[in-house]
Amino acid sequence: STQSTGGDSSDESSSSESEAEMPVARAPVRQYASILEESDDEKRVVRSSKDKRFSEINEAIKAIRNAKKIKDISKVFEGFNSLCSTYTKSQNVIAKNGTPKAFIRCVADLETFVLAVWEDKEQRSKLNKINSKALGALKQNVRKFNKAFETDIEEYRKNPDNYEEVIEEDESDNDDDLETAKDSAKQAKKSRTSSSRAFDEDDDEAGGDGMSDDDSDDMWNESDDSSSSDDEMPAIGYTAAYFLKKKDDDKKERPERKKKAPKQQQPRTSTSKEDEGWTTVSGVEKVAKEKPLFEEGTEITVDVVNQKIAELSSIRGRRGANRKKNIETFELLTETCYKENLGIPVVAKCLYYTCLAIFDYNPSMSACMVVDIWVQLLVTLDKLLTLLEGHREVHFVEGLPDEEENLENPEKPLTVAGSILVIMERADDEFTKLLRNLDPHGTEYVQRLSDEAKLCVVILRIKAELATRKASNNEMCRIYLREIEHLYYKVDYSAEKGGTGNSKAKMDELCKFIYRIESSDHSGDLDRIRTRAMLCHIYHHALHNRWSEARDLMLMSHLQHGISHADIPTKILHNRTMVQLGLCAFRNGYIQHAHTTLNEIQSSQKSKELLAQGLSTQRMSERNLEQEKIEKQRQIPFHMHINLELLEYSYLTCAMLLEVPHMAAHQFEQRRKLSRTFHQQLRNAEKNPLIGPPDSMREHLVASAKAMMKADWKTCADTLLAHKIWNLMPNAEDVKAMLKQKIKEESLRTYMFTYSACYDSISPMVLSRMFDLSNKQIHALISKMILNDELKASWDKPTDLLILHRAESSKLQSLAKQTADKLTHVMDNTEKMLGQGTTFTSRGNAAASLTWPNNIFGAGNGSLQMGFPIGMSGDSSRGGHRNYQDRSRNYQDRNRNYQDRSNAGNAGYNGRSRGGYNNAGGYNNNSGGYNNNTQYTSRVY
Amino acid sequence: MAQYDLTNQLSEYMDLHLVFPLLEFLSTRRIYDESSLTESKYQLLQNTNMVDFTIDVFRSLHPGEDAPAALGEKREDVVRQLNYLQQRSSQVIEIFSKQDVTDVAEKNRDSQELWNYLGENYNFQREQLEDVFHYGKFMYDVGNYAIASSHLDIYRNIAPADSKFYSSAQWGKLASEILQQNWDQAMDELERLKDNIMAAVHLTQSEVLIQRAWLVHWGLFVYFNHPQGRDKLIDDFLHQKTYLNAIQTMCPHILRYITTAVVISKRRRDGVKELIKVLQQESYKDPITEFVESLYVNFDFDEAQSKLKQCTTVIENDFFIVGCLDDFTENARLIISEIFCRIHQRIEIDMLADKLNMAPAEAEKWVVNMIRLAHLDAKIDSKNGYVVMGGTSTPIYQKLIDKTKDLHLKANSCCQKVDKKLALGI
Repeated sequence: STQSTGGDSSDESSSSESEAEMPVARAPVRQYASILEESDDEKRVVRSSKDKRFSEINEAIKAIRNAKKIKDISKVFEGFNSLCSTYTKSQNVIAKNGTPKAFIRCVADLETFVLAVWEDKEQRSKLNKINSKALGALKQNVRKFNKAFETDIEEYRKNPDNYEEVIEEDESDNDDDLETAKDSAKQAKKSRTSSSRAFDEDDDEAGGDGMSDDDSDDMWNESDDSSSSDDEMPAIGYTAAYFLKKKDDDKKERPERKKKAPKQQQPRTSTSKEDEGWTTVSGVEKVAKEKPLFEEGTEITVDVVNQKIAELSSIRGRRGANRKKNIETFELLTETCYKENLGIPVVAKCLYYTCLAIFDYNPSMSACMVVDIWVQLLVTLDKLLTLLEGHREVHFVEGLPDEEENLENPEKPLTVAGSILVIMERADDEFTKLLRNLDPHGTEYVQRLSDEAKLCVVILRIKAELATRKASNNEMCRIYLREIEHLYYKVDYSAEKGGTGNSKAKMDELCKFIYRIESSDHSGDLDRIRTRAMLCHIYHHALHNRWSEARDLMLMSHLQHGISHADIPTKILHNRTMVQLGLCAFRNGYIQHAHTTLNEIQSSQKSKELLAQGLSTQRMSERNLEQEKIEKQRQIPFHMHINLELLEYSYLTCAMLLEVPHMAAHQFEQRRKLSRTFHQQLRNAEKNPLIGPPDSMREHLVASAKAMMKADWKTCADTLLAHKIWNLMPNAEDVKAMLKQKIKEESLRTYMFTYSACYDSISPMVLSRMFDLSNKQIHALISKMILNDELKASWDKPTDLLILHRAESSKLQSLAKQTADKLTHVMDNTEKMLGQGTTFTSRGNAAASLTWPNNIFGAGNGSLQMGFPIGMSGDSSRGGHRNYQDRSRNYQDRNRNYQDRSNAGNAGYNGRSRGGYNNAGGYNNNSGGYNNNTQYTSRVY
Repeated sequence: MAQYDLTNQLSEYMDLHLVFPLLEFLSTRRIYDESSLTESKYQLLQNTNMVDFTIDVFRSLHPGEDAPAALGEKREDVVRQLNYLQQRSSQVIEIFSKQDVTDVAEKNRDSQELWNYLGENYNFQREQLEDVFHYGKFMYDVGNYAIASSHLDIYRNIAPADSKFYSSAQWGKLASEILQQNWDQAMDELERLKDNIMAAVHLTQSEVLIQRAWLVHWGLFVYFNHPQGRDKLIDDFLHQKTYLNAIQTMCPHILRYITTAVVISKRRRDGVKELIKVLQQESYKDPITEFVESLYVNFDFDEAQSKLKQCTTVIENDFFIVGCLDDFTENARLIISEIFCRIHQRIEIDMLADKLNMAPAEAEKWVVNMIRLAHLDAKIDSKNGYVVMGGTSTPIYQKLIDKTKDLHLKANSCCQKVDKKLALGI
């Protein structure tokens, strides 16, 4: 890349082109710059508030001067106005630093100029209408405005040299930095003593942000100038001033030069050595050579680098900036710092900014990084980390203003503004984005996935670093969370094979660290981290079949309470966790729990969205482009997906196991449907004119449900388990065995419900043969049915027969019963209406006739929202839903898990003498408990 | 049977002095190595001021050895402190036993006026009152629970409720009463403490939780010794969400005691539903809870029967419920037979006897008793040795009639109401 400036301008044009093409993609750049690197941004404001204002003033001054030269009074007036407004805006900066001399000079000159024009009657008459009007206004305004600076102006008039010099030095300084950066970027070995801003002054485009144009002129001029000014080299300031005076002479040449500039650029830079041998030095030397420019050698060098960084970072995200170049520039800078031994902090800072520049490379937040760039990022991060590991004395401080950085003073702690954690987090996010945008079935995906290991290593190293550097709790939690999030969804195969599952221990350790952090300030951030850690913890438990741990943690954590207020990624994680919990329950044979847990997410018909695993197609029309884009950004990378097919099949299997006996038990009643989705499947299947052998997953299910309705457990089990999707289930064989057993049991129940009316007595031996269950199992199952009043029967022990009491009511009878119920209800309502209040004692009769087993489910439960249902009876007429109100405990309460229990027994009887428990707050026994246990948050968004 | 022994878990929530009875009990049961028990007793004693007792234990632990010198020093130290505290506290008590003070105190208890009065007349500082507490505490440490109890009582009666040691004094008082086996007072104390915990605003949630856990454990002494204790235990722990929460969260092993209490309770039916729910949620298991679960959840009588056998040993080795053994066995049988009878039409007496862990003749007698007491609707077919259950379920027609028969009455009363209202012109 030999043509830095040329490249610049071309880049500018290309970027403006691309801007024209995709205006939408533009916006996020700014957003990114301001939101993501908040700390940085803040810094920049702090640093440049003075510089920025002053440069604004300078800009305005320049504009005025340019306009003055072509005697465009209206332009001058405009410039003056902008100068005034800038001045008022900069009041507080000026109050601190004094009025800039350039400003004084400008207003003074302006006054002279205006007066001169005013006096020159002849010229004034030549002015067009607009200009003459402007002249009048300008004259008045200037006089008014200048009154405030009378003394300064006077002083200026006395010795104008004083003033000029200062400005020029300032300017040259700035330009120098810029140039240095450019230089190193293109590796042009060229040094310059001073810049020639002065020559730009009539550059019409200077006002805009056409930076590259500006630059090209600069370079141009300057090479020219430097040759003529070599004598004055040591006295930079004066040199500049000297040039300044010459500007009028140069002016005439300007147009020509400008035309030449782009053409000349290339040859000059490439052949710079020959052309200007005496000024050409290596980039490194350049830095070294800059030293004498300032009074104190090394320190200033650090400053120079520093300023350059500031300069470069200030153009971050601007459209003119060449992002690729920026990265290279920073890398070069880093190298330079290494070579020059400028000290570790500076190198660290350079590396840090290289990372930032890499992030900047992406034009838009939503677009994903190029793979190479990401790898480069990782490498840079790795370097930075290695550096920091070697030099514990260097600290990154987040949110530190640039002025307070300490890059070289070894007496004070060495600090660099910035946060390595932020970089890491961003790198991690970019990685996720990268994966999201890859085809999950391609080899590229797998390749990238292998990078995760490296990323994890980096995370671990940063964790160790932060730990040794005693980072704040918040930071530690953040890094821990990152580690957790890379761990939680991975199956620990060693644990499954009966080995020591170290991922469980790891997970416990990480999560407990986060739980233990006192949430003294309930800052949302820490709460969010804790919530996420907990969800991951539960997920991990559930994934490894640790049902009771997962359930307990879920119940104790009160997560379900606040989840509707959480941010969407957390909600998605919550949904994933709930699904995983449901699957875990399923694998463990807690069919009822599994059903309730999965019901919510399956019945919504948009499990894909809820789990952020793709967009369901049928609802495409409801979603506009913007929404779709947002949703796409939320997607979970493929390797973390939960298999939706398996999920649905598991859910439907649960539904079948519960629903079929339920349907059989309530043949004539208008039954409450346990699962709408299941019924929908059945209905859909009935619409088919021809039913062939089952092929798809749903057909398998319907066929097996049909078999179960006929209590044909064998066909049912065979059909259901034939589908190969079960092989995706961990412990597939165990799960299949469990399902087979369940199918037998539920088939038996279905059989008893459906056909018991046909029997007077039945031998358990027959049943045992029919359902391939042991005599004991038959006995237990039927006993349970009898006790739950599901079956009117009793055992006759001596003959070992089940005697059926023919209590099954015919359709007429059950309708009569329902009528009676309804009549009672009407009666009650009437009584209430009459204000009788107290009800008849006889109302309890119906309930009294139901004996113990039915009451176990408590009549009141119907009104409560469903919680985890208790698996006490597979099918109870009341739905058997248990609410968890009674378990409204907080995970923090269960301090026994996370905090050391000091020995209460030996603590003496002073109730408050024990300090081992920190108050995590939020323990509230009556806080409403678990009503919304399974409330999936998805509804919120 | 050591696997079902809960002493370890329990002692975590017990006061040091309360653990001694548990250890004493264990040493009589001989399920642990005697010397290790004595050793742990010795360890415990080191933290108390019961120096003489410590020395005794040391001697039994190391026969023939002299007690360590440190103990002798400690003894002197204790005596010195004792005298000092006694003197200080007696001053206070003296002041408070004066007639004029009691008069003022009765008039304005807790108020500033009383303190002003004391300050003016006796140069009395509030801090002096704490001496009474310290003395009480010291006496407790020494093992003189009666004096401790009385002093703590005095302190508690005088000191305002927001004093530093107020709740400590209450816990101390409860412990003293328990150790003196004054169950009635202890029960009162328990109630007071419960109210206090409920009302405590200055405690954090986890502190409250811990205090509740303590209360539950200390309460075991009271609940299983007080005549109405068992029922109260069910009411307090099973039916009160706050305490149930504390138990589930901190100490699920308490479920054993709740289960026992429910089984032997007369009002079993109310408790059992709740209990089953809780047992299902918790992973805590021992033969007693498993017995209940096997009966009410799995309906597995064979398992229930084997668990019942284990229960006996568990209960025998548990300090708190050892006294409930007979009650438990009796009631467990009742439960089994109740459920058994509900699902059977005819049962052989031999089989029933087997399920109930009884000899056939005994079982027959038992069934006869049950029938006579109208617990059981059955007849004995003695020729075949069957028990024949009576009373099949009510026919559906009967049910319908039952359901609808009040409608007539109700409708009538409604009509009357309407008539009345019409007559009044409303």
